[in-house]
Amino acid sequence: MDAGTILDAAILASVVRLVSPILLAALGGLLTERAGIFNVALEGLMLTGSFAAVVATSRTGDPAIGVLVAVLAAMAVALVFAIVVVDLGGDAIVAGLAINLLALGATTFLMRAILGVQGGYYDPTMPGLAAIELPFLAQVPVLGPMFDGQTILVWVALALVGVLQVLLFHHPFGIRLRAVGEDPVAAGSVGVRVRRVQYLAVLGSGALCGLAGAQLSLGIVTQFVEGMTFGRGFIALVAVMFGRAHPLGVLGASVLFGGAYAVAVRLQGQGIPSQFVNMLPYLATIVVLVVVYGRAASRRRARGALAEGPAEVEVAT
Amino acid sequence: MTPAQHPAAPATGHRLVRMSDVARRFGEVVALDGVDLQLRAGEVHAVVGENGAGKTTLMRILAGVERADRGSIEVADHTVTIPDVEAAYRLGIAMVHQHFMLFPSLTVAENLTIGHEPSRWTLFDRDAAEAAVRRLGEAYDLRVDPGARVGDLSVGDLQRVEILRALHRGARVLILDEPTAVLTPHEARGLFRVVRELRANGCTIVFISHKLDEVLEIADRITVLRDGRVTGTLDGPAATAAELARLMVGRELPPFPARAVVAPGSPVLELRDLRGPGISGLDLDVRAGEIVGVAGVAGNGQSELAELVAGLLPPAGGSIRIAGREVTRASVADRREAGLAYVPDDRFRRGLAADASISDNLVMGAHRRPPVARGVLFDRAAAARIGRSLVERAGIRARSVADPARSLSGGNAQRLVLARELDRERPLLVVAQPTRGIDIAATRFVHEGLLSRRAAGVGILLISADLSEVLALADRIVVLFAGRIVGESPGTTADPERLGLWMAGVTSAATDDLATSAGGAV
Amino acid sequence: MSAMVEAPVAPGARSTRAARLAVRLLVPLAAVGLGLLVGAVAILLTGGSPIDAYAALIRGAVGTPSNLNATLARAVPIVVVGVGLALAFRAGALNLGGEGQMIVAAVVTAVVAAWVGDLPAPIGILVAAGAGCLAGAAWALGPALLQTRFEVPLLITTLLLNYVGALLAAWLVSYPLREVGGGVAQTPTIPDPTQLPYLAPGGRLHAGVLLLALLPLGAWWLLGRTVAGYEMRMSGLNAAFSEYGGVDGRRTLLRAMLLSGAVCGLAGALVVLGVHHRYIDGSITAPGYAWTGFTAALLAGGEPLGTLVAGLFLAGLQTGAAGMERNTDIPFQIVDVVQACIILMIAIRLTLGRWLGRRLGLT
Repeated sequence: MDAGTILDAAILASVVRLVSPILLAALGGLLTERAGIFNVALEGLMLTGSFAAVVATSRTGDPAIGVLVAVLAAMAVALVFAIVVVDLGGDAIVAGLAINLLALGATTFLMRAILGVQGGYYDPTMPGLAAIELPFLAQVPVLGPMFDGQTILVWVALALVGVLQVLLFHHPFGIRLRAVGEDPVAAGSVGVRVRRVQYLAVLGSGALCGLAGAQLSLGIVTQFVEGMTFGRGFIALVAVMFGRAHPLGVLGASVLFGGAYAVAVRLQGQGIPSQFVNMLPYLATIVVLVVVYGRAASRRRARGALAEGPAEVEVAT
Repeated sequence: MTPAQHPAAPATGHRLVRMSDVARRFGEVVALDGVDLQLRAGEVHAVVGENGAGKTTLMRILAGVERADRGSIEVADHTVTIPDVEAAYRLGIAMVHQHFMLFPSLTVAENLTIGHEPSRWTLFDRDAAEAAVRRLGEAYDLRVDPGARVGDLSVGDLQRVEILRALHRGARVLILDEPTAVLTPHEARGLFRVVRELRANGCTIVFISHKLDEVLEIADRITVLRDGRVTGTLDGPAATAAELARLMVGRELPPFPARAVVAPGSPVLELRDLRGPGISGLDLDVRAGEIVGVAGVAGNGQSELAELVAGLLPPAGGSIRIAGREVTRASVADRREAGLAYVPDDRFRRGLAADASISDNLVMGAHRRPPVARGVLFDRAAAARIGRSLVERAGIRARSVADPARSLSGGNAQRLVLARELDRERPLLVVAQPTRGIDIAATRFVHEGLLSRRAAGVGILLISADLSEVLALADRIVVLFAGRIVGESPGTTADPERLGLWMAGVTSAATDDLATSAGGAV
Repeated sequence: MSAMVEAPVAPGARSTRAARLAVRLLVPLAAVGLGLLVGAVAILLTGGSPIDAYAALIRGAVGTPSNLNATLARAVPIVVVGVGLALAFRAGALNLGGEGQMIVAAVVTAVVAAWVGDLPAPIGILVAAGAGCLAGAAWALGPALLQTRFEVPLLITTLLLNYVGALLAAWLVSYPLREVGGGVAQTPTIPDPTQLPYLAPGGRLHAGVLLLALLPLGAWWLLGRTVAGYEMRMSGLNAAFSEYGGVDGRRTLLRAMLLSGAVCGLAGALVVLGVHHRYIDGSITAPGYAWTGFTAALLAGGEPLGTLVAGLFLAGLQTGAAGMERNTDIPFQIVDVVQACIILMIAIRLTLGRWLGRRLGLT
């Protein structure tokens, strides 16, 4: 009984911890999705954040600076993505994949050029993000073990769910953002500065992915490994679709996928090979995709609409 | 029109807007060729002309959507430049486009205030926005629920939201582009009331249309465009339909070729209680050697009917037979095999692949049969031969059939689609809007092609929004309204007025009543 | 790539075939040039000399017969997977799962090769390679079916399955298939008769290099000279149009994805049969074969013969980078950055093409 509660508490804390990077990246993806930009680059932006966070922290010894640099670095890469997609009429999917490969190549290149190592960087003296102890919360059952001792970025992620909810539905910018995503031509015709809105959305998603990357490399672990995001950005992208680009929906989807990671970690602890259980989040994501699109497809069939070519990514509101 | 119907026409007349010598080209197409237009304060000014006459382009320039290549604009006697929509708004000019610039997932209040949202503590002030909608709605008798999602509204409501938004931006000159095209007759009545209300409030309204009866009913003055030039400006109350028609029709329809007398043969298309998206219970036969015209206002199921027959939409019920073969659930390929040729209304999306070569485009649909297919092999030489011969016969101006279809001009690209389908030796030909957007020479090519197919014993289902085309070509005419056939008439003795009533959804039983009190609610 | 449907240009824009061909060649060349330029800037920033570095790179790629052989050998999986992806792209299917398809095929090839070691040389190789093709096709079939049945975007499922494939293979060679007594996660060596023979001394240039010539030609023939290829091309250019013409979009997509998966699988099989003679964990992912093949296919606009040229070039860039690192201390990963920049330029190919065409007065 006692052992059971401890384990459950541990897994709850682990869910919260593992959900946070997915959630942060997915909230970033939500911004671009709402601006009508399909953002495959989440993966690369996140990886940039992870790397920049570790480099800056190892140089300054201050994880706060690490987080700041992660945000700025990811925003800089996002700026490239924005220029290509918004101004140069680039294909968002191809550009996003290029950003991912750029982030992968540049981080391994710079790891050797700056840190002089290959494969991964680990420095036992490098501090990670501090665990925030909340004595008053620790006493509360369930919530206590879940949230006591999490990093600041977990709290930031949760706060951002609310912030984005307000931004999207109760702020002029949110109205313009949604309008741009729905019909950029019409938005331009009523005086919305479409380019600016799209730039802000892409830069915002860069900032959030920077936070996601920092939480991964300074919060969950304290090291950088080549390609350490390992598809989390794509999973976040699916979380945006599954959550229908609503902050609360995205939170729910992220909890689901983060939960899959936590279950994988738990099973690993019970002796099941890590490679095997680590497939879980990806398989869960594919199952969710089938549910989301299968329902949409059968609705379309019921309406008798045409199925034309590769389905576009739709977000119902 | 009697003056009595213009009670609110103010005796104003001072010049508010003056456009001089405005010209605009798109590639080689001259859309506007030195147009002068003057708008007076507080008038309803109709701009009329056929499709492609330049009405919309002219007004898009005034609204800042499009820029002129040449010419000047004065507003209240000051020369102005209108580089964008915002500049037009600042001058009090706003346009309600034919395709609404609205966002379905946003509420009415959000749609109305977007770009100029009222805010409190930097947040969107929903109460203020909704109050503004209500206030304006009451002032102009344009009531819409400000909290409703625009995606849930009817077309008439959408138009009201657009007009309200223009007024909210302080528009004094309101341009309505073909505003009745998407409305039911009842909704159109409502719109006319609104237009009169706006004029009474001192607004200037530009009413773009090609429907003469509407124009005569509502306009104080009328400017007629033809091929990018002004052919006349008339006083509304004094104008007559005949005079307007004479000024408008610059594009003379080619004289229709003599029709061979063909005795209709066996049915090549049989629809029984066909149901599907946009279509609810349709019975129709097309016989060999017969042209059956489908008339109706756009959006009453025409496109869906064509796509259902072609196998591109799944039927919900009923049956389809092509040349005697049951094909209700058959694939597109099987229907083509059974004897279908099909010219889709959206030639550029459905009818060709812009980046494929002209010859690849021309053999589509015939690519599984000899001579193009030799077993599993695709005979490029044969495809090129077929391509060259079609290009020559259809008079398509192309450098080489290996060039992509993208290199063709719009009219030639249309010819490509028509030539491909008209050439097929198939007993059934379905054509949707065959002459939309093409010039006289191409129109003649199409009409001759259709009649020669008919003479060769092909059964043709001709779907066209151009009533004069249907009247001239069809042996039999059916009228489609809300996905049903509401009336049928032999082509030769068809009465255009009766067809017009059917197109407005007035069924035979009620025709007599309503013919006398035209304009009553339907 | 999805077909970009634009309104046909007005006849006033004088575009001749020669001019269009020039633009089609110029855009990839410009993309490569700009990519190398970014690389040069990065080299400068790390304190190196771009000229020395690129000179060393060229020597490393083609400077000696041995280096040239290494480049050709490296080009084999890159070009094969590139052609595989190009076949899907041309049919409008954005198969981003080349890596997963290669990995799964490589493992299956290693296993089957061990079983058929007793068969005479060419038969054993063909059976093992065939098994790899089937495995690659099977890995591509799932996403294809999800797309045709539920309209789940293929590009996401194929991407996600890369990770699943990598993890599955890692588990297989760490546990059930692991070489007994081996220090690393890898399968035992495959029997001699199933190893591809070498064509040149030095033990690099294996017989799989013949596919460099055969496979792109075969794909070119398929796309241009068969009815199935015509249907694939038309589906890729405009799905609504080909459906209207009686082409079964779902069947074409399934066919294209199976073919694409099989060819990608062949690339994975070649890595096992010709290079390592076993499956080693990470041996497909680490050299980035699939994404380099992806770059080659994009650079060539999905043309098989162009993919060959682009693949040879990118392979040279990679083997050359290893030589550059030996001589100049510049990390070879710089070419990954160059390659990413090339893709970025391809993303804006339409804008780039218009700009180049205008600048050079071609269109």
